[in-house]
Amino acid sequence: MSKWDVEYQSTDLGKIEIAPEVIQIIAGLAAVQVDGVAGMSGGVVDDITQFLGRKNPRQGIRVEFEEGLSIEVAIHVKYGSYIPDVGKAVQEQVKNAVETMTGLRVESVNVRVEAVKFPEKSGAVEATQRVK
Amino acid sequence: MSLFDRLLLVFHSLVVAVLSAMVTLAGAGAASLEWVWEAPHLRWAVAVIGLLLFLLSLRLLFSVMRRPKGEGVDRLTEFGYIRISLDTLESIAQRAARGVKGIRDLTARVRFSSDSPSSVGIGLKITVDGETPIQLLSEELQRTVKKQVEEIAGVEVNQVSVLVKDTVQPERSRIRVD
Repeated sequence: MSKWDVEYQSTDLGKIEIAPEVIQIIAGLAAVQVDGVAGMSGGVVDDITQFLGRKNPRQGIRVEFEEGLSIEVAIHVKYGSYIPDVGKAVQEQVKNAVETMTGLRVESVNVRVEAVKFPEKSGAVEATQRVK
Repeated sequence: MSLFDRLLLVFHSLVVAVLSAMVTLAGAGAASLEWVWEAPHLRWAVAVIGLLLFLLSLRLLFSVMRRPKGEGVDRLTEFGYIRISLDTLESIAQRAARGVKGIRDLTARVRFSSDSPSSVGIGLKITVDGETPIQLLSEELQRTVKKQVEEIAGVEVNQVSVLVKDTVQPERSRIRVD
């Protein structure tokens, strides 16, 4: 991730900077806990790493700071859920989580539904990241 | 992954398995590969095999990296947009077809409709079982796919085209010998 000016807050003692990776992780955890989300979406390489057992908490999340903080979340949806509702819920949860935990204002949360996961094994790697 | 691509993958894997076995043996000193370099006509064969394997690998790579990410139907909300990829819509269409009797195999292709960017057209290529009337099953297929995609993804389906590309060869009836 390239270093760019992160949002920071000034207090009397100095600055509080929040790295984009932190926002990625918070967004990722929030998204995965939404009902109907089967998991985060990554590319071929991410599928392989997941298959090998290593979970990437930042997978599928892009954080941009152009006119305000914008977060892009790429997910896989469980078959059977109404996709627009899942998307809306993800937007709300991610915005909420990031704003509550970092105090930063989230301008927009864009959701990309990359695939639908079916309950039986379909050959693709089933991505279920449940964080307790 | 289409059936053809799967066959390619099997063939590709077999060739790689044989080659890696040979290379392992050569590396372990149990066999040498010099005879390959010595015979000139063998070298041609090896070069051709290598080239074929290379092209095959590229082809397989392409079928895995399907369309570029980002191709989807957008829905705007107060927080931003929700984009459903065309691949997702194809999966839904494919799953919807399972319920229709008489379909052996199906591939789905989803494209943006020419009228509006928020509705899609779906093309279905099917293989039928040869027993169910095709007209009826096609119409049911169109209805089912359209309904499922609209219900699950909330995306308007403008058009569902069905191409019956093949039928299953009927099984030869077994001759009983008593």
